[in-house]
Amino acid sequence: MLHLDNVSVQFSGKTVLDRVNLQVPVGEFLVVIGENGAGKSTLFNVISGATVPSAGQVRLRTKKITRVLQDPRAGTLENMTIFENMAFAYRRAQRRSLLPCFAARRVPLFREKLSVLHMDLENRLNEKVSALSGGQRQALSLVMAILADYDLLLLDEFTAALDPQSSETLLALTNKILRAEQKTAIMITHNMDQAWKYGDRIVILKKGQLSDVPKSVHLNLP
Amino acid sequence: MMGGAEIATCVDLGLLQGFLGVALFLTLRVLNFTDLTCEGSFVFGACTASVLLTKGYPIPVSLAASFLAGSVAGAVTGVLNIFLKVKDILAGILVAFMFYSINLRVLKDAPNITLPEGAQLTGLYIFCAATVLMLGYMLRTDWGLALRAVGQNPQLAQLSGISVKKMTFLGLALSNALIGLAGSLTSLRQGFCDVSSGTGLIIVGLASVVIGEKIMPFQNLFLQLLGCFAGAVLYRFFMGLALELECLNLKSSDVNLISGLLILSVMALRKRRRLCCT
Repeated sequence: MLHLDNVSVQFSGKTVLDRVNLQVPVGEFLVVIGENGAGKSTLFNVISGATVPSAGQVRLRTKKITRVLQDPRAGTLENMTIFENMAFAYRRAQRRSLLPCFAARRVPLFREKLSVLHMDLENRLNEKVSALSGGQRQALSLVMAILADYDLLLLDEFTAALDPQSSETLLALTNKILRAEQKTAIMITHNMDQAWKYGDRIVILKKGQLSDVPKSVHLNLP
Repeated sequence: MMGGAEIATCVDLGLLQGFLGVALFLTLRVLNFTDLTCEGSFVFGACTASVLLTKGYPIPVSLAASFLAGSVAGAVTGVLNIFLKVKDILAGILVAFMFYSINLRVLKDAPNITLPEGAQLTGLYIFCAATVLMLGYMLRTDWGLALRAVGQNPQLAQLSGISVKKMTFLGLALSNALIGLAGSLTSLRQGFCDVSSGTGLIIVGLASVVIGEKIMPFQNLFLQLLGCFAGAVLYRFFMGLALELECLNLKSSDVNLISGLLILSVMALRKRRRLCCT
């Protein structure tokens, strides 16, 4: 699915990623850990194409990449309704036409996708997102991210802003969806317990270099 | 008190200024872009249409030309902001400032021109209804949703494959096209075009949006757009009434003061209601 060959990124002369090599096969749930400022988000930016590497090559078998951000507010349109948010996500990476977004035929699909959250959001389609809790919003941004067809899901510390219970619930749900749909995902986290529990493989980013973490090792990250 | 003719004038002028309100709603509320180009694009639209009318072109052609002229002014602001990274407020001010000279050139250095006898404004209500319906529909399409997303959360919009720069550019062009149209319609209503008729228009547009939101606090986009027209008409009424009331002893030179105080009062009311709710 994804191959990074000797990828380096430099910002203002400072090396953020240093000859990083990474292979992610289809269906793998890879977890990336590392200290603050280690370059984890830059790695995601390189994978998603937002940052062009200074050297090396990024080989991707797909262009259908989606991303869930850390801040629940950043992943949703808070002054719009849940329906409008879903309608917005439904057309991700597609040409936006001058056809009505409020098409009634979309309602059953949106209800079905939201029902997997068990948060009753499917019955609150006309409510504004600003009325939702942080956990509900982040769950909505996850559904929005995977609503349109995707092959690679990037999860950028997406449970960091939630309380432990909401965080665990959302991650369990994400894992369930990924396994059921056999999709590939890469997750950045600081939570080692969650990394061990859900990740197929864990890699650590340190001083711009990436290395595998054996399952027997337990790390304490800031 | 105001007579029937004065009330009709207030409604007409209010509806004409409602276009400004709708255009500012598009930039301020939808795009989250503080666009002050309107003082330039309004007059540019008016000048373009007036010159074409004096040359014998039919009214629909002149109105279409004013729509395009306004969009050009908006596009220039977009280019300054997007490509030259000029701040939104400054880009608008600069364009409005520069277009004063361009407008004078369009009018061949005359400060104003009189429109031909036959050029009169008809179908104002149809223009207003068509604007609300078309814009309201457009904002409820997938494209409109993308435009609203760019204003609310540009990062998410970018991640979703939307070109934030392109949408901002198009939004500015559309907004100022409406302002250009408002300029030409106002010239038709008044029978002349004046190069300094754009002064202070930003305040009128802002008043329309603020009062409209106060009297029609709905989530429905059609009603929000309608609220801009209603706000503009109400603004004209307030202004007319304030100048009519002899007990206040106000003069026509007090217009700016009354406008400012009116907007501040409405904004203070909005704030107070919000405080009560929290």
